[in-house]
Amino acid sequence: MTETATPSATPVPRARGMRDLPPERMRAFRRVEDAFRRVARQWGYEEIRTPTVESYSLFTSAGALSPEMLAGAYTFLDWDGWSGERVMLRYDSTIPVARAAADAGIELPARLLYVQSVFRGAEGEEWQCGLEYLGAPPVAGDLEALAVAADTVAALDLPCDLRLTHAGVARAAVDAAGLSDALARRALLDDVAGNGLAAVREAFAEQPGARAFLRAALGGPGEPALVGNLIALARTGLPGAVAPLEELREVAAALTETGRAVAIDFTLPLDFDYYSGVTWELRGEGGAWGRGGRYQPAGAGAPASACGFALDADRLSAHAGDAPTRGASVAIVAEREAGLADALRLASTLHGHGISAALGDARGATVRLVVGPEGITATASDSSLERATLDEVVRFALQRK
Amino acid sequence: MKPQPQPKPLGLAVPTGALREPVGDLLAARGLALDGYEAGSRLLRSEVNERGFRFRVFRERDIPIQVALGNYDLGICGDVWIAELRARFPGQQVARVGALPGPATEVWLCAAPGAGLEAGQVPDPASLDGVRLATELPNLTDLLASRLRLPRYTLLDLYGSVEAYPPEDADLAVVAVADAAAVEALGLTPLHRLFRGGVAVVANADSLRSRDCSAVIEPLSAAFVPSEASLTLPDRASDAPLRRTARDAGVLRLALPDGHAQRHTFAALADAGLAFDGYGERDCVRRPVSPIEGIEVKVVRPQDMPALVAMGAFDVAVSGVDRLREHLAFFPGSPVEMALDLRRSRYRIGPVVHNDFPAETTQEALAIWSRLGRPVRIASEFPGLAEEWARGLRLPHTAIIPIAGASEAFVPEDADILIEGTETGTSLRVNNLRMLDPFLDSTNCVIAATEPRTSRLDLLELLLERLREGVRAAAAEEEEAEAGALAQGAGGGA
Repeated sequence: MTETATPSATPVPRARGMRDLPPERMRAFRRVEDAFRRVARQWGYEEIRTPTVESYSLFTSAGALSPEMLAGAYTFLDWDGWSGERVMLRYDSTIPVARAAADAGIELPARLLYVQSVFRGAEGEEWQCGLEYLGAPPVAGDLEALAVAADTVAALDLPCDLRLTHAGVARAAVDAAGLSDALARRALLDDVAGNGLAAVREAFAEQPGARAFLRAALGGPGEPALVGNLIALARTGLPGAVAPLEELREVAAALTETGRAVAIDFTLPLDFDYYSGVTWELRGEGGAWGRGGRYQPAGAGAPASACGFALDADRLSAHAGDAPTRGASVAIVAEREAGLADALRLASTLHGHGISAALGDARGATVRLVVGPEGITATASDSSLERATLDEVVRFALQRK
Repeated sequence: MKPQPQPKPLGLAVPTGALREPVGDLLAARGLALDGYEAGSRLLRSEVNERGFRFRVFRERDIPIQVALGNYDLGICGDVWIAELRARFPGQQVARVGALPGPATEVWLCAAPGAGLEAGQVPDPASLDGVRLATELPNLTDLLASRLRLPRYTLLDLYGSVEAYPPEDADLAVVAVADAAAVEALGLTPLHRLFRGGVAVVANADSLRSRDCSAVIEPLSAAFVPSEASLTLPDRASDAPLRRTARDAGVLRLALPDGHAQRHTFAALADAGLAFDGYGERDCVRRPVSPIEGIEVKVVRPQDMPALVAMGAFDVAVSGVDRLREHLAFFPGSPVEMALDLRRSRYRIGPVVHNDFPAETTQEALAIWSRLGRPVRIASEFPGLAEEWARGLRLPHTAIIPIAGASEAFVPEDADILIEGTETGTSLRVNNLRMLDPFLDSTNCVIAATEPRTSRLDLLELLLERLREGVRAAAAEEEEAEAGALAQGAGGGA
């Protein structure tokens, strides 16, 4: 005899950091992803999806995740864990999308969009709408990615402020700090990724030109004109920053000319070490809608440069407002067992006319059909039909759809 | 008036192993002597004593976890285990209250002398792609690897004998020792000191904020020493590349166990007429010499063997059925299998409960576990077997607690069930425990790779044949002895 336990009635809580999307939140979420897909497809983006579980080495090889980020990753041994190789829940989508594009031999330039979740330490699961423009040309690619993100937020009728920075400025500062040791340089880059340009301030205590540049750059968000002033200071204080700043000025000018409000902000954290060019954040309602920028993909066969972003779909859907419910508009009730087949046929007929219909009572239905031995009875709040024909029922339901 | 629930008594987690004696002496000197904690005792728990607290004995690495979980308010353990927990779970509720006098522990990144590195030289990170890191401290080692930005690496998360791995079976090792000289005494080169700490009193952060722990803290605080634990990740690397050693496929690689399994393995080898120079009944060196030319031998922990054989580091090993089944419970497709049952070191594994538990069989117990209204807590040094067992019984809601040892202390307060092995049952009886229905009979056995890497399959067959003969000879001898005893009994009765 097999000894087994009886099932428990005790509810088991959700795993830590994980969230449900009940119908109400799901409707709002669909609004966000539909808006995003619609906008991105106008720019020629195609959808891609990558596995939830990736090799741990994919993320460590990319070199884009700081030790602090890796410490917050969900890692474990899978069925082949005896080999010592671990797997990891997707921490970020940029690295897997670049891998998937290379694996599939997708030709460059490639415009790829995704809607999928990432898994990060205490935050748990986060849903993102994002894109990767692999092989994107400088400036034009940046503007295109920015436009997709900003237009998505605008399509949801949400406010949107744009803040720009350039990862090349922070890299120029790290280069100028003169750290010959690879590990020390790496540690400073990690600090920059977490804290932005402010992390390099201490390295320039004895260099007045560089200090003047950093003071101006870190003085808080400024108008695009700030970039011109910074270029003037960088020529003597931090020459390596001039070229990145000129690129930033070009992007900021194009955005301003098309009527978008832009702020220059060097206090922005870079988050990921792979950013190499113009980097940005969209803000509204007291927080960030998403971040993106130009980056240098890692790995064999990777393009020289790419642009991408990830919008916080959870936060956007929380602010995007409710969408109409989508329950069945017609409830079909069979009066006796023999009427079930007729009810099923009736549902299929209504579906064929674009009317949502369900068997049994449905919450929110505007029409109730009863299939009985004498025919079909249709009832709505304003009128009813007895012994109706199929055509009459369809017409009745269409009028109240 | 409704009676107020009695507050849970204060709990103190104290270490077994090398720290048991010095910690016991220190507690006694501070007026906190724990009856039954003296060296050599097999007692692992106490009832609430006259000072209002109870104690439990744990393996050191389990202590910060138990304190973080809130099962114990206070604990005493090496700083290194606190650092190991925090490296992976920085948000855990563990507060270091103070340092006690005791041995220092340092954690060193080290390499074999042939790796081309001098003491104090962190190898050039560019030479470390695909590096194999052996350690008993996986969380600190991961932290080190991420700081070094190792692109790809294999982490050998071991039960012990880490120093045996470089250079053939690991390129670098992370070991916990007394100091750099101790690393050198192990035959390795110390490259970077990752951590230094001593013995600490730890508290659950909530307990420290909200419970009166003074009965333990006050006497101990007078013994506190000004010692801080320090974690030092490397911020400089040399440009010296790491030289690596690959395994030799032209030899048969055999792993033999140390620890409790050693005397049984020695006996099985003796039955087969095989004497390995440097592998005795009790003593051994890491690399004994085989009497059969072409067999390369290394002594490692039996718990680590199935994975090492699956990875191809060894072609064959003497381990246990328990360890193989535990490995296959996690990795059913792993390319390792039992090649020969050596039929020694026999013991049973099964669910262990407290003597007060109101059930005699697993069947009776199931009804009780199903009604708990919370997860059934199952502690085990065999988490894979524990999970497999619970799955087989369809226990609906379980929490598997992997533990490092001193397992008898967990039931009943910190776990409902222990999945544990017992040979004679002595330790269970001493700790007021008993086994329900055992589900696995374990013996020592030879495990082998399903597709060995060695080109010397002839040696593998020769070794197995010799061991098979040994098993047959031992069985025949046993039968003869039994027949003799029977005859003697019959004669005596005539």
